[in-house]
Amino acid sequence: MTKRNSPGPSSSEPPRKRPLSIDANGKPRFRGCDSIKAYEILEKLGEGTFGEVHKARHRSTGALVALKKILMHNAKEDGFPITSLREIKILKALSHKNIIPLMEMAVEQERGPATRGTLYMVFPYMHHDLAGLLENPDVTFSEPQIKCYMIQLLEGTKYLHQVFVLNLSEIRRSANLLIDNRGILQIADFGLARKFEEPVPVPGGGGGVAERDYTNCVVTRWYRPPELLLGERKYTSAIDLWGVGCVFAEMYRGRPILQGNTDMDQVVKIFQLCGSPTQKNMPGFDRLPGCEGVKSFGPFQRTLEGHYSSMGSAGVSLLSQLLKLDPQRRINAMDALKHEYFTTDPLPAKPSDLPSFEDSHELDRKKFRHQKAHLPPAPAGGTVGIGQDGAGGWNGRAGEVPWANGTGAGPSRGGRPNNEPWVNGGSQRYGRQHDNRMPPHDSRVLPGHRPAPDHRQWSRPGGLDHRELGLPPRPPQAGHMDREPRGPPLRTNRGNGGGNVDTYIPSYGGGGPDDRRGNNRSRDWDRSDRDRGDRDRGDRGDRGDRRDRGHDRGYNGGGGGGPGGGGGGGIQRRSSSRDRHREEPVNNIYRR
Amino acid sequence: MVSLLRNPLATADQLASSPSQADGIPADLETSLRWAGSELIQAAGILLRLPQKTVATAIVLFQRFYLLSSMRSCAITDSCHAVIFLSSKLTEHPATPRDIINVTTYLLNTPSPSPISPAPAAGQGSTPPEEHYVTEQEYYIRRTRLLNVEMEILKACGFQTHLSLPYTLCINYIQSLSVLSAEVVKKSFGYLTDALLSPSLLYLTHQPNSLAVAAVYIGARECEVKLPAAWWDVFDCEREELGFLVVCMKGVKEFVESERKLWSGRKPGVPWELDDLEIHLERRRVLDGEAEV
Repeated sequence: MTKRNSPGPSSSEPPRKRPLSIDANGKPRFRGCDSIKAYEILEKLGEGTFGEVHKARHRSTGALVALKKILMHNAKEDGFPITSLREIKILKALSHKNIIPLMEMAVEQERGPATRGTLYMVFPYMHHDLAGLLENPDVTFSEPQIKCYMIQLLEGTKYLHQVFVLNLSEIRRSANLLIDNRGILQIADFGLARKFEEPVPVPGGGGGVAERDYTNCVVTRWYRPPELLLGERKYTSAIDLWGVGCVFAEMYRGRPILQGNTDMDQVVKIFQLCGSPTQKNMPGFDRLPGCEGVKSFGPFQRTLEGHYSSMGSAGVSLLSQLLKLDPQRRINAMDALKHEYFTTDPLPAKPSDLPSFEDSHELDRKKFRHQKAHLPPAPAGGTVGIGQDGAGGWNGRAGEVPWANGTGAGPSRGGRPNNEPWVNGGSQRYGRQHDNRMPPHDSRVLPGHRPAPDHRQWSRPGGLDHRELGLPPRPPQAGHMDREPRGPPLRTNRGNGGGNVDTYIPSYGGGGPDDRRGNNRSRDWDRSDRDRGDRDRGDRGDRGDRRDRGHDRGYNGGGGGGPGGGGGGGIQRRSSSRDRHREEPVNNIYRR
Repeated sequence: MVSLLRNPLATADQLASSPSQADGIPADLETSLRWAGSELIQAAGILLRLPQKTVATAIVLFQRFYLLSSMRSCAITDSCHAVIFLSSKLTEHPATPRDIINVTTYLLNTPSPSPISPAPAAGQGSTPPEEHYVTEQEYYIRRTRLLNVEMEILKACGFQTHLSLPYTLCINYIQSLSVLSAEVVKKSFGYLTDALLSPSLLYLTHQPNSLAVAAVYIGARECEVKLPAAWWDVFDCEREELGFLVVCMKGVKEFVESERKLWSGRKPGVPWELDDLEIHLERRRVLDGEAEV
């Protein structure tokens, strides 16, 4: 189409076509949808199957934000992803102090207005996520603090359920609970949230009765309630409360409490904790399809009260009500808020009274673990791309650089056998990076860092805290990384196979014995992928589009066994070493 | 939650400054194209067996989009495809791009009494299927455009896709007034659907509760059901607003009839594509020039 000049209707000259994004006054026409140029991207915080996250600063307001990229996996067929549509729609409709606000959308226009461009969701930057905080060795949760977080978590959940949003629950993962230094907890990641069509929970009514079928392939496995694992499709808001219960106990334990390797393993773990299902404690459980066809479990003795006696009688009481096998009798959020747990001593802290911590994110913690696991000798080479620029200080706090590149996906996740050499190119890079940045003052960690058993390297001079045992090895004194001068994000490596940014991408392709961790990890990724894929499929109903799965798997890179291929030795191995090594699902809000 | 029952509305500025008119499209043509697009969406929605909420959402998205962008930047067909696709996702009744494209092509190429289709040729029976066959190549081109426009729509709306429709509120109001009858509901729904086609863009200028009140008002009146005095106050609708809406809703019929008369059988027909539109504009300029001379 030819461009013409002189605007205005019915002039004899054909009017000029005006660019779509500018109105008659030459101002941007679209509100709530800023250009990515409005943000100064500081660093990449993480990357994952469903997107990547950058930390950024708004150029005019200076506000720190997290930019979450929306990946268009199947844009050719599906257009804008329905899950993102839901997430945006729901987030835009929500307004609660314990729900993360969606500030706006940012568009990166690649070539001309005709292309679709890349989209980012803009969230306020939060200093911590719960999973990261729990792993931060400098942070020990006090009981008033846990109560404070629990109240906020339940308030957010109550609000969601009151406005008919079912957070099909990745939300209930501790990594999706964001906490800032004012002590405010916010629920994030509504990628799987949906509006539900049941009556709102009423006090004393548990989760009510479901009337509609939903797909049961939702919720990160460790936070998945028994009814979903047994194939229930008519679930209710009670599924979210199971997740709340898991997070509740996790805050005391310091690690996810039910870390199943497979769905079956997860079910068994649940019943080992809560006792075998019976008609009494879970009416109708035998009418559900069962987990992988298995319907009878046990007999297991209930161990919940014994295991968690340290939580105090009120705490155990609340936990047992949240972790009720029968979803209809599981306590709902508004009743839980009235539980005596919150009115007995010690009373909940006020958010403003909570101490601030150095930034702690799940990905960050993984990075620490990663580095410590194979601290290599000092690199001979220079510090390419990681100059000492002193950018780390932020109001004197160590806080500027919480999520480093994709370390979350590193092969060092948790329980990797320590004596195995790393095979992953990406890890090499990390090691080097770490050494380069290693500050001289951090003498406790530095000397003689060689790949060596985790617990030796990581034992801290300060002794063990209550969750030291059974925990993953500690990072070096927390915070030293953050005091380090930071360089720009390692963008230079992005295009080359991605070993550094997201190690689930082909780095482990070889599949040798040393790849076990990678395989297991990828299985987890795959799992969540599949959750989402299935979810999509379920939503599409009759479309029968099988492409999702293959497609998602493609994104998983070479390392992952398929969903069905995960029964290998890696799992056995992992189970046996579980007590020493933390594992967690690798979902994170910022990874998508 | 910000209210679920409130919709984002067009500002006075937006209504006063139509991007299409600023872009050189005469006001009457813009109105006609809005009408034609809405008719196409409604007809396609029926053939695609989409529920009315999906269709209504699509039409409102369509209206919103052209409030924010020029008709010379996105062809009417493409934006119709895109809004149907988008609203089908938003309302959880997904339709595939292929179905949507097939259906609109069928509608636009098969003679029928509908004003958006070619006029039936006299003496001819059924049309040969080649007329509305979408070749694979054409499908890919159209799908690409569909997906591009989908993104344009989302950006234009600032990703605000929330839309609360007045249909359920309408039932609710009728029930609370204790005058529930199939007849009143049917009439009221009819007017709500009419209002989607209104040239005054009622869904962009009024909240759903007002639309529902106006529809109930007309519905009850036409069914001769007596309602209490000033009942609309209860539902937060001012008398003036109600009056305006009633006039607009009643006027839709006349508007649509005049548009139908204007376009049915006309050659060339509605400029569905960008090329058609440019030709149409050129032709008008020539005609205007001749008239001046």
